[in-house]
Amino acid sequence: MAPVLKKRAVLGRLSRTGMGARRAFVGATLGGLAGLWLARRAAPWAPARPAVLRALAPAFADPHAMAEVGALYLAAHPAEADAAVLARALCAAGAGFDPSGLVRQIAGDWREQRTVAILGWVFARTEARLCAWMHLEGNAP
Amino acid sequence: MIENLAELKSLGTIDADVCLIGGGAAGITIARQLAGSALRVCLVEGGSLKYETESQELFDGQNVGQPIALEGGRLRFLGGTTNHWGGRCAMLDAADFRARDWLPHSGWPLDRAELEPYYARARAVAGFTQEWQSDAQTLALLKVAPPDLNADLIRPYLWHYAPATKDAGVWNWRIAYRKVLEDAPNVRVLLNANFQSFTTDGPGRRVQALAVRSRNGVGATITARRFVLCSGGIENARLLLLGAADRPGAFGNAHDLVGRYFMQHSRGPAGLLVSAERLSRLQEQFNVLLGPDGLEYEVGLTLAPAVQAQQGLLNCSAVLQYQGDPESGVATAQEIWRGLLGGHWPPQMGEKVWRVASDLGAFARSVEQRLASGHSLAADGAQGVPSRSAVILVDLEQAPDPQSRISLADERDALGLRRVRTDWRLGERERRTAAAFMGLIASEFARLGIGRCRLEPWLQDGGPPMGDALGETYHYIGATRMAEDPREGVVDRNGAVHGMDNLFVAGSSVFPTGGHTNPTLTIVALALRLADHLSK
Repeated sequence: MAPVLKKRAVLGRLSRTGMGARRAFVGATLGGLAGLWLARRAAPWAPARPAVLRALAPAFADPHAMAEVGALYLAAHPAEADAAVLARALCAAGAGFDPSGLVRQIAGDWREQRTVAILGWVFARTEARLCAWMHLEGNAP
Repeated sequence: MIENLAELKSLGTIDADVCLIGGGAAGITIARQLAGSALRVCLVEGGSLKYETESQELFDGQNVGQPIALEGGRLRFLGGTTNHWGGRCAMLDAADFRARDWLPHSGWPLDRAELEPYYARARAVAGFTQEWQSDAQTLALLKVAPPDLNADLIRPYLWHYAPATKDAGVWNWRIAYRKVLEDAPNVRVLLNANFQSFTTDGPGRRVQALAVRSRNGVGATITARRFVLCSGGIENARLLLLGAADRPGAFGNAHDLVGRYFMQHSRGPAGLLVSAERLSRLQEQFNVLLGPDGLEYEVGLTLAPAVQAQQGLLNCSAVLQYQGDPESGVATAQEIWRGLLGGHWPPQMGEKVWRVASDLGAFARSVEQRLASGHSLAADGAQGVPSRSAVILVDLEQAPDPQSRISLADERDALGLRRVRTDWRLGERERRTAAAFMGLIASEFARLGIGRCRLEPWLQDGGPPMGDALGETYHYIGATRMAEDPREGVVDRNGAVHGMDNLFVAGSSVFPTGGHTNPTLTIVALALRLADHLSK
């Protein structure tokens, strides 16, 4: 949502004219880019818990287990033990964060064998990262 | 004619054109093929017509590597190890014969196309009365529509089970061909005729005679134009080594290759498939299935050759072993039935009857399947029982390794011959193959919504050694390997021992690589090919 709001703001300022407008344009652009950067640096999304639960439903009946698997995934991949990093990793996979996007992304992982084994169980990488997100966000009930 | 050396006072010398040493799948196949020809054939078998502990004990030896059931894995009486054969038949893949640049010491000196006509004849020898159809046609006959697997990764694999010989559970060489051996005027079978020694000419290029002896001391000598070792995957190497011990460099061992590259298919659980739903559809796809021709077939999975090449892996296959759902109506009916047969009224009968009644469809299908396959309702096993989980059993090809070898132990057997010593070694490539294969099965089964897989600990980081988790298949391969170059193998493409004029080897010991599938059909195909060569 954040990038869209910034873009609207940029378009609003461009309606001015002259030097002031150019300054305003440069300022707005830099500000927008900074905003974008900050937004991505922090957390570009807030995955809805129902979407995550739905995406993980084929593998898990119990959200506690998701968080446990997530903890084990992060222990094996400490570089991702940060909500923003994790979000970027998920974001980079490019499927979006709506429920069907996550499900598609998981299906793509299976197709391309992007998998991780945790305690011997084979998970799609996206599943493992969503579990890690559940763990980091303390979303386990 | 079949004679028992142990029951004769003395025999003297038998003169033959072809002397076959060993009466298992290879020896019987060659004798049968030469029966009725102009050649005089003498087949010597160390055992008798039935299992005898004293004879079997001669197979004992020393393990210094991965354990091998030297006494239990092989059988020492007419029919050889086929006496505990399960009848599972398949041809090696075309890719198994090729030199694989990622796999040192791979490549046969002949290809699958050259062996095809012999495979066709081997199927008849193994009891099949009809020509095999293509896998796709057979699957259609079995009404199996496999799931939509990515065939570039993994694909269905089909085994054919040989029909049962009368009075036996499966096809049995001894029962099937005993009469042929008895009746053939040009074939003489000597039972209880144990190898003692070879006599060679001066340079050691030609075997002149074979001395045999029964355990009670009756001796005989066989002179022949040609001798063929058909004594099994381990014993073939041992007998060559015993010959070479007296004549270093002879008996194919000029390059110290006899006994090396010893391999075996490893089999064991590699993973567990679980599903929230019953695996009923999968059970109809990947299982041992009864065909309309009355024969059994087994559908499993194999790794696509392209993946093997891309990732530097070995060949392998997997089958599913379903774990019956104890809550199912079928399992409950089994429990009730066994209880009643045992004379006691099962507890909570009302609840159990209700469970059966509420699962009537699956119950009826199971009874139908069990009746068709001859399993009683009381029999153990998950045959026809709906399942929510299955163990994934893998069969692995082994990489040829010169350090994995057969040699001679210092200890001697009851006949005064040095026992065998095995140093069977498994390598990291086998584990890597199983891990990659299981990973693909897990991905594909998850993608198709079939279920989820858990890898066995030996495939996990820091898990136990692979050798602790996998079992033997008794498929002993490679210890007298075939190669055109004497520096690379013990026998040539016809099974003739390099550097010898009239000594041949038949059996799985000549396979340079073993693929993943059961070797018997290939042993028989090569034996038929050798029989043709000997007939020329």
